[in-house]
Amino acid sequence: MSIESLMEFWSMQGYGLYVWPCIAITGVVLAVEIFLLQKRSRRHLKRIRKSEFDHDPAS
Amino acid sequence: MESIEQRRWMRFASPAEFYPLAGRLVPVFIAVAIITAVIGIGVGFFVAPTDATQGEAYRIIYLHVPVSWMSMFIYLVMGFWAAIGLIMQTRLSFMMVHALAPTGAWMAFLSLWTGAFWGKPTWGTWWVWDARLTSELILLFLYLAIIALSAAIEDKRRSDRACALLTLVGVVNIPIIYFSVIWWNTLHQGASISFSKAPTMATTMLWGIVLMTVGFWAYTVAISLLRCRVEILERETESDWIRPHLRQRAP
Repeated sequence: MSIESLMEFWSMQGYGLYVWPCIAITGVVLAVEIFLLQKRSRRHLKRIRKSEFDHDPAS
Repeated sequence: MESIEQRRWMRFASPAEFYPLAGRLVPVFIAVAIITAVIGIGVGFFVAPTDATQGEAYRIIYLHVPVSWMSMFIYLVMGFWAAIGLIMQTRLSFMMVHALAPTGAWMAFLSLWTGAFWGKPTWGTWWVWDARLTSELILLFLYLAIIALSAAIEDKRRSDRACALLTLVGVVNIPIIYFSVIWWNTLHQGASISFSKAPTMATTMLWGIVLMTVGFWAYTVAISLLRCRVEILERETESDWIRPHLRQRAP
């Protein structure tokens, strides 16, 4: 693939400015959604483990 | 015979049965999502021809149409679970409503964003108060309202019922979005794909849209199953069955 054809693909006939932000925001949204869910579940697991530890008479 | 079959499926209405099942299903849907999205992007951006009237700007369709469909479809699925929850009093159905709402909100947001970036080069504006765009914005607000309502009511049983009722009331907005381009004079173009007419677009374009839709659908299933697992973890902390699952890593 030559540099010219790559540049042509990137510019999307001048519409690149509109096409690429759509791809970018979609990727960002999916990443943020996964991150937020992971954070939520980690926070919860940490809380339960901590309370379990507090209540465990053996510790 | 039928009752045995029925019981076999009903058993997954129990969070204790559903939790491990969801965990096993997630990797399958993630794989489907990745494979179809990669092929879909490949078909949409490298194989499908340039649109005769809109040029390369039309390629936004491969994101815009799938996320818009999903934003409406997720709401209908939530409506289904809300109704089942209210009728049969199954806790898991309400949890599915909560698990789907954030993904629905993200899809509605993406629909509006990609729509704005498509509208600017083709209509000359990011936004108009047109029937299709406005009803989609209302859909986003409905999702946000359901999420806010579930966070606002402390008592889970009351929160579940309130969210289910709000979800069901909002279902009326879905046909309004879908038929808005027919019922009103809108700037938005009519449906790209119709079940009653022969396709008016190149077959590769159609395939690109279908593959991307399957990709977003599989992603939605995977992330909402994961979120439902977290929801179950949060609610069933006191139950005995959950103890061994807590030793595992985060879902």
